Amino acid sequence: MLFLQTTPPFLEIGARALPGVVTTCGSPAKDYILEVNGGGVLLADFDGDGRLDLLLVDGSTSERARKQESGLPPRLFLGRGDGTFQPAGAAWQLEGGRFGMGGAVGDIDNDGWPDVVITQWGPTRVIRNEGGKGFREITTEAGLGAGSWGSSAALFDADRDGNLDLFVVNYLDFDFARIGSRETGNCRWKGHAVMCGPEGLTPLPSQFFRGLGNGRFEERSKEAGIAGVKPGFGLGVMVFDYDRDGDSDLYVANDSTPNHLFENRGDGTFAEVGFARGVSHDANGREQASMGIACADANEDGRDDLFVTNFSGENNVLYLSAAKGLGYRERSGQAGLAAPSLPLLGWGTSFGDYDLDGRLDLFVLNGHVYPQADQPGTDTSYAQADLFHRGLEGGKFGSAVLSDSKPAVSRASAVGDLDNDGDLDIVAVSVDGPVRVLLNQAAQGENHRWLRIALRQPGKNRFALGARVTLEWKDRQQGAEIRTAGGYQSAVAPEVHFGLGSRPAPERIRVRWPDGIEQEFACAGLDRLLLLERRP
Amino acid sequence: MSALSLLLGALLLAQVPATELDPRLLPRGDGARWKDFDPAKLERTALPAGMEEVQRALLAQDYPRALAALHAVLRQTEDFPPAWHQLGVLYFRLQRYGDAVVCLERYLELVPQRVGDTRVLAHGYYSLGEYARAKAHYERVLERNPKELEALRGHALACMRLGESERALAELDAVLALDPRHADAATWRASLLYDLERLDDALAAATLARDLDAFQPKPWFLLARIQGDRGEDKAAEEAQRRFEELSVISQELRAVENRLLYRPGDRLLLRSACELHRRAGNRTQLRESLARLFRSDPSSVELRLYGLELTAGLGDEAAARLLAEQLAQLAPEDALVWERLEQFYASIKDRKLQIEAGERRLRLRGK
Repeated sequence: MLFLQTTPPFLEIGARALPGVVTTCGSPAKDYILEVNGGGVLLADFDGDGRLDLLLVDGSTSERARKQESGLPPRLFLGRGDGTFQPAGAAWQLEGGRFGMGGAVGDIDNDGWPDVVITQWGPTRVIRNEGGKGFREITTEAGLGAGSWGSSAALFDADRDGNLDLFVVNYLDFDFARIGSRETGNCRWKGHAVMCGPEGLTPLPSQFFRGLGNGRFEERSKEAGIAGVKPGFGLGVMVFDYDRDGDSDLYVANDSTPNHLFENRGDGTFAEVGFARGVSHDANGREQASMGIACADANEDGRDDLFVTNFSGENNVLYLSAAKGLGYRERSGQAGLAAPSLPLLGWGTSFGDYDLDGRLDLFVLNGHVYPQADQPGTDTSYAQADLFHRGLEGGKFGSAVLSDSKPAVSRASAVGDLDNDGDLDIVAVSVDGPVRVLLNQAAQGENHRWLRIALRQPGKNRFALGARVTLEWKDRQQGAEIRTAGGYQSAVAPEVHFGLGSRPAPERIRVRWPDGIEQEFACAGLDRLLLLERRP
Repeated sequence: MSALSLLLGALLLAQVPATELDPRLLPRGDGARWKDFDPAKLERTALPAGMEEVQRALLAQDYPRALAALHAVLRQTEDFPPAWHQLGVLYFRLQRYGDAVVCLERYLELVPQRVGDTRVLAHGYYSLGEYARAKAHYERVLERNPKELEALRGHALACMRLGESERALAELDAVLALDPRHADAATWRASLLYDLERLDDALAAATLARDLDAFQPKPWFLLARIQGDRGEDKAAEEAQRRFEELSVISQELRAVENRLLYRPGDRLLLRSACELHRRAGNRTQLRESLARLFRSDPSSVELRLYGLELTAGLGDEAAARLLAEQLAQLAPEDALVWERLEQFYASIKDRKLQIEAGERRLRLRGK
């Protein structure tokens, strides 16, 4: 594998940022598939102090999971604004669930504070943010409490009524009593006994819940056209308006089964069009292991593109929007993203202009599912290097090691400007290991301009999830959507970040609000966070 | 090496599962002994003793046993080139590409004049994503054997991965010129043309690929995508439906075949493979899978009855007749077999054999 010889663009400050914070995901031997997906990370400013906080979703031990005892509780860490965090006080403490995975963030009760949905092996949980003072679990009041293995989730306004709706991606029907352990030797990979699944197990359908705007939800999976779709082993989810028709569509990464693209009909009902749009399989017609999803307008044609991380031996896949129609074409090889990923097993990923040179970059967290990957003949390893794909001229990417971290068994990631210096930093979860904060070392100044933009609108959906922000110059446009879905068991802050390189300030900023109304704003300057408020 | 150390080595080796043997740990000499090695001049009697066991294991498709035997040969007869080569090919088959590369690179170090034998080394580089190295090595192989089909095909794919689409197309054309029925080359050609958005050419190429191998999902996938892009929605939907059927079967088959690599002769898996080919409607592959199943128990009447059921169900009369004849020979005194044969011959309206089988059944039941 050839990598760019550069200083790693990110510096791990985990020991300083989150001292001693680790997650637990079953037994180290990974005897069951339940034990391999890792925990989740949700970034948001929960206490309203202008700094990003971090809610860590943790799993459980095998013993507790087997006995159906409560697992490890999700933990909130309040950001200090310099990339480090401190444990939040008692008001923010939550009970342990069953076996946590990931979740979603959004204002489900329209009170202006980000609330939380937590997915787990067990019922999906709903947590209300009590005015920035603490958390209160409202799962039962919210009308949830069912569910068997949610992996990722997204809060978004599907039917454009202003209330956030909930989409839960489910993985598979897991039961210790019915699924054989690795120790049976029944399941093999490259000759080595490994945990069983997902092949041969039963995938669970995704679920759609209509938000009532008061913290309550009603399941509408059937009415929304979700329940009738042949289920996959769902792991990741992304919200984006793929067809630019003003509503939010969903892309679901399914492990070993075709990925789904749920096209919103405009009223919160969906048609599954993954195959027709060319994003269900790779270019060879193979379903892939599909874990994490990154989404951004990589080819700058105004439509967002997709990047999906995959298993070792499969390449990660870049789907670029086609010049004609609404379809996508796999362009992983041409972009230089296929070969470097072959020996690696990818999870959390996100586009962003991390080096602030005006071109989108990409990172991928890696780590195998099988500890047995360290045995002979696997062509891979359990702990793996995370990769940084720097955007180059002509739509190509060059690959480098992401950070100075040692190889780890990485999983979910979330991106945000944790130290408020204008570049994007990363929180990386690893299986049974430390939670790493990777601070971006991007140069600042004249050729590394940036803008962060957040939106506010009165009434419902105040953070304007689903809005699109476009920077406009005479010769170029750069656009991005406001969303909190982080791709794989994660959530990010409801804002967009643009790296501009040496470009001057855009002539205007165009905002298409979630209800379709467009407004223009002047750019008040570069290298700052702009909070754009909707005008009456 | 003393006889005692050989014995101890073999005993230690026997305790390690074949899958955990690491070819990097095999002993290596200075290699000079083999510099003029020519397999054509190798007398059978000069083969290391363990090579016969290797051949037996390979014939039985017992790859773990073959692995262990090859490691033993290379411990006893340091650097024996055919063993390194065979081990490399075997590791490649087992999808252990790094190990395959280690073995075949060693083979080439020992006998550089045999580069023409090493297309699998290039396959190994390719499978590890090292496309430039793969391309260069395919070129070395092709210098020796310009018409080596699989090297040509591999070279085309390496060129494709490196963005040299036109060259890749030309080489796939060359493969098809040498072997017009090369379904895989035809499929990759269609894929490349689709990638280049040459929809008319891609459609023709995908149609050819499908005609050459109608049971592979990829040509149907390409047809569905191409026809969809051309706005031929009905045809695209039909192709998608067939693709989805074959894709599910193909995924299950891959899982079964991967397990069989390490569990040779597992009858449940062998039957699963047969069943999957029946589901796909693939007579050729069903015949091959049945032959493999029968090798696991050459005298089994039950397995042949199963085979008869599958082939007859698929309308493969020729294969079913052959199995019926084998059953008649294997179980001449089994009334149940003759009953089944009577039913079979009735189903294909072969009245003469139906009557004969019926009479035999009655006689055996004493009526």
